Amino acid sequence: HNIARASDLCGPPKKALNTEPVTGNYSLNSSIRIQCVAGYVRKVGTSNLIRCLKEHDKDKPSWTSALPLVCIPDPKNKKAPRPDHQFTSSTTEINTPTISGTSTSITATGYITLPTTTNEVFTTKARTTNQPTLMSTTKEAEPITSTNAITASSIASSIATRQFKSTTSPQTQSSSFTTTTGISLSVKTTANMTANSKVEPSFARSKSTIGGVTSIFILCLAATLFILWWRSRRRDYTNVIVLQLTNQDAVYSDIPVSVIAPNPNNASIDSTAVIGTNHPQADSVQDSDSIHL
Amino acid sequence: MISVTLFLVFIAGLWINKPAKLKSMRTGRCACNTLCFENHMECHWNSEVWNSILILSCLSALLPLTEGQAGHPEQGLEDLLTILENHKKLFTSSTAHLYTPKIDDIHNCTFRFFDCFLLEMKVVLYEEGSGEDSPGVVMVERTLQHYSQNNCSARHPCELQELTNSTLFFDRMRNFLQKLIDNCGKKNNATCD
Repeated sequence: HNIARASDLCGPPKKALNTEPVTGNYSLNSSIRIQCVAGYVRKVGTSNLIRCLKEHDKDKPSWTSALPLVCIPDPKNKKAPRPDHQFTSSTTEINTPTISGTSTSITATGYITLPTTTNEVFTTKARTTNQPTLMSTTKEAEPITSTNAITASSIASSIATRQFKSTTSPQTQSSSFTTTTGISLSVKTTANMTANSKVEPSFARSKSTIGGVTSIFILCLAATLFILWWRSRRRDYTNVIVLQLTNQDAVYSDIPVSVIAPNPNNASIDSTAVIGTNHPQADSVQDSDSIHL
Repeated sequence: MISVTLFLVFIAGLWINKPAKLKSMRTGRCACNTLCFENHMECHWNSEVWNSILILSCLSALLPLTEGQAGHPEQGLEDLLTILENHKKLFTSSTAHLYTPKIDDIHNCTFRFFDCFLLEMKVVLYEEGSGEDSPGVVMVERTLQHYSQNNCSARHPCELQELTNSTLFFDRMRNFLQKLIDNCGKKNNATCD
C-alpha cells in the first residue's frame, strides 16, 4: 500500500470570505469545490475549484486556484444578507461581594497582647470568549500580610471573582490589559486573538496579447533607423569622392602655358621637345586616375 | 508571414539600392559636377522610394490587425466558435456548474449574454488546465476586452441565470454564437436588448 506522507498532504484550505469552511487533509493533486454560504453566489468568471499542487520552488504542496472564488450577495435576494465575520469575542462582567477576614495572635510569655486585625482584599478577573478561542495567560501574585505582633504572623485572604464584558473588532489581531487591585494582588491578562481573515491572493489576470503588432512596429523602427544610418554613411562617402575629384581638377590647372605654345623657329626640334614633355604629364595623369580609382 | 514579407522587401531594397562604383573622371569641371549631382540625386531618390515602400508596407500590415474584429465581427465570432468546438472535450469532462443564459428569445444581433458565455468559458478552460498563453484563453480574453465596452452585463447580471452542467452550457453557447454569426453578418449594429 502506498502511504501518503505528511509532506504530500494539503491541510484544510484557507477560508475565503463568505465561503463554507472545509476541513480535513487532502492528498497531492486532489481537487475540491468550495461553496458559498447561504445568501451568496459565485461571481461569474471565478472558479470554486481548488487543487492541491506542489510548486517547484516549494517543499510542501499548497492549494492553488487560477481564478480565485469570489462570493457576492445573491442578486435574486432583495435583502442584503448579513456579512460573514471571521470571529466574534465577548466577555461578561460580574461583580461579586468582597469578603474580609480577621486574625489574632497570642504569645507564650505570659502576658496578653491586644489582638490585631488584618483585612485583605483582592480581585481576580477572568474572561470567557466565544468562537474562535482566545489564547490568554494570567499571572497572579500571592498575597502575604503580617501583623504587628512580635512572634506571630497570619495570612488572611479573600477572593472575589469579577468578570467584565467587552467586544472585540474582527480586524483586531491582538489586545492586552493589566489591572491591579488591592495592596498585594496583581493580575495581568494577555489575549491574542487569531483572525481567520487573510489577504486574497492577487493572481495576475491574463491580458490581451498584442505581441504581433508590437513586433512589427519594432521591426519597422529598427529598419528605419538602419536606413537612416546607412544613408548618413553613404553621404559621407559621397563627400569624400567629391573632394577627390576637386583635387584632380587642381592637377589639370597646374599645366604651364609655355610648354603648350609652339616655337616657329625650330619647328621640328620644338615639336619633338613638346612631345617629349607631354609624355610625363600623361603618365602623371594616368597615375592620378589610378590613385583615385 | 507579414514579418517575412517585410523582411524580404527590406532585403530587396538593400540589394537594389547598393551604391554604384564611380568611374574615373577625365572630363572638365562642369561635366564632373553634373555627374556628381545626378549621382547624388539618384542615391537620394532610390533611398526615399524604398523608405516610402517600407513605411507603407508597415502601415498596410498594421491596419488589418488594428481593425481586427471591429471591422469584421463575424470573422471573430467564427474563430471563437472554432475554438469552442476544438475544446469540446474539456466541456464534456468538466464538473463545473456554469451560469447559462437562455437563448430561445434571441433573434437579433445582440450582445446581451455574450459576456456571460465568455466568462464562463474562460472558467472551464482554466479549470481544465489551459494556461494564460493558450490560444483559447487568449482569444477569449481579447474578445472580452473588445465586447465588454458595451457593458451589457450591467443590465443583465449573469448571476441571475440558471446554473447548468458544462455540457448543456457548451450546447447553448454554440447555438448562441451561431445565432450571432447569422444575425450580425449583414449589419453591425449590435445592441444589449
